[in-house]
Amino acid sequence: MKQYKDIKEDDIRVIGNAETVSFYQKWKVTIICCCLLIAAGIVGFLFFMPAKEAVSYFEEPEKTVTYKTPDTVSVQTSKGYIEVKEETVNDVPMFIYIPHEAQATLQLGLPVQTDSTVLFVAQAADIRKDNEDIVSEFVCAGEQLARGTAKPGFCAIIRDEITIGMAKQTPLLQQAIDQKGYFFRQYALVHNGELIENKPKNKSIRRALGKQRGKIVMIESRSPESFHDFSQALIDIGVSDAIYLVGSTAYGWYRNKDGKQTEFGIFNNALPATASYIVWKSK
Amino acid sequence: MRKHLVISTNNDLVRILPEHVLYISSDGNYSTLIQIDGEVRLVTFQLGQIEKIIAEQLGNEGCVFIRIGKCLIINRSYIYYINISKQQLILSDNKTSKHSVSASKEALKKLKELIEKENI
Repeated sequence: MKQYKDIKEDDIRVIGNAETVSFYQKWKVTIICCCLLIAAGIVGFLFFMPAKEAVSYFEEPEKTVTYKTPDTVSVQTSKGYIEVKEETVNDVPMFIYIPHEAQATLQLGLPVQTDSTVLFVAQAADIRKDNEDIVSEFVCAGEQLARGTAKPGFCAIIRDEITIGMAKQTPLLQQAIDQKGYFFRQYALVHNGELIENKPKNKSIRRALGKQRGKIVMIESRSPESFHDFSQALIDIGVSDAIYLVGSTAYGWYRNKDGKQTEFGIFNNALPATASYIVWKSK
Repeated sequence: MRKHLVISTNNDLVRILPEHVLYISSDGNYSTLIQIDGEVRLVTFQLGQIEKIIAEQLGNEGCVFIRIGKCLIINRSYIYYINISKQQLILSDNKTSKHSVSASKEALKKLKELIEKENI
């Protein structure tokens, strides 16, 4: 089996060529290969029949999971909508989703996809793998569904006010319960304009709920990023406070001003009932 | 008979013609295969393993695929638009399928040069 060198983020490689080559190298290699092939053809015509190399990719005992992404649906919405901006800072390309005439809530399970009043949906709190419980404190319509403070970042939605912050304990939790509001915890990414470091070091599509120049927005990286680079990019675009939203292939969608619904991530119907979503609805 | 790309595990198997693959993106230890019919399939191989599978199974025909950085393998037949400053690459069959992906500026610059040279 051919051995491939690691590829750098800035490189490209035509598959089938073992080396990462430039255009000029490619032609040089092609000409040399042609010459060698002709020579080999003459010499080995009667004696040499190339044996097909065994392929050994069939040994990994892991299962394949199939997801079907539902078709995009276009429905005229009511007055609310999501404005989408593209920004790139320090090579981190991002979408910024800005809600207009919209209010946020939390809910368990996905909302109905054809509901035109639903403007933005993204998975909110993490779920434990072992018992499928929501990680850290979670309040939905005044009802506390999970406890714990493993994640220091929080988002409290009380009446029409959204607060994003970082604290192990906050009176906003009790206020959310008392006033039938919403509360969830996630990784804190930015607090008072300062970058908060987090342990996971892998790169992935990142999503966040943040406060940018006083307005609550959602941000999504368009390329896999580390927590550090994503958090720094948030600061660079003027986000003062931000917490994480479930990233990678987590499923969601938004509606623009024309009512066009655009999905992101991959629909996964195997998620437990405790999967929670932040849902922006038209006011 | 045209060569299919076969991605198989102990449990299941994906068999697909190369021209039906729009692109494959890395998702940590897994890869996500995006087909031109819009179907999305998660496969439990890393992108580097997928690259090897393509090279081994398709041989020279595998050159329809281009690895871009650590996170992408694209089908060059569907390259429609490259914008280096926006780090945007749009893959489209000019019918039903249109996907925007992102890569580093330097990688997109190299891709643009490759396409330009090949079209001379």
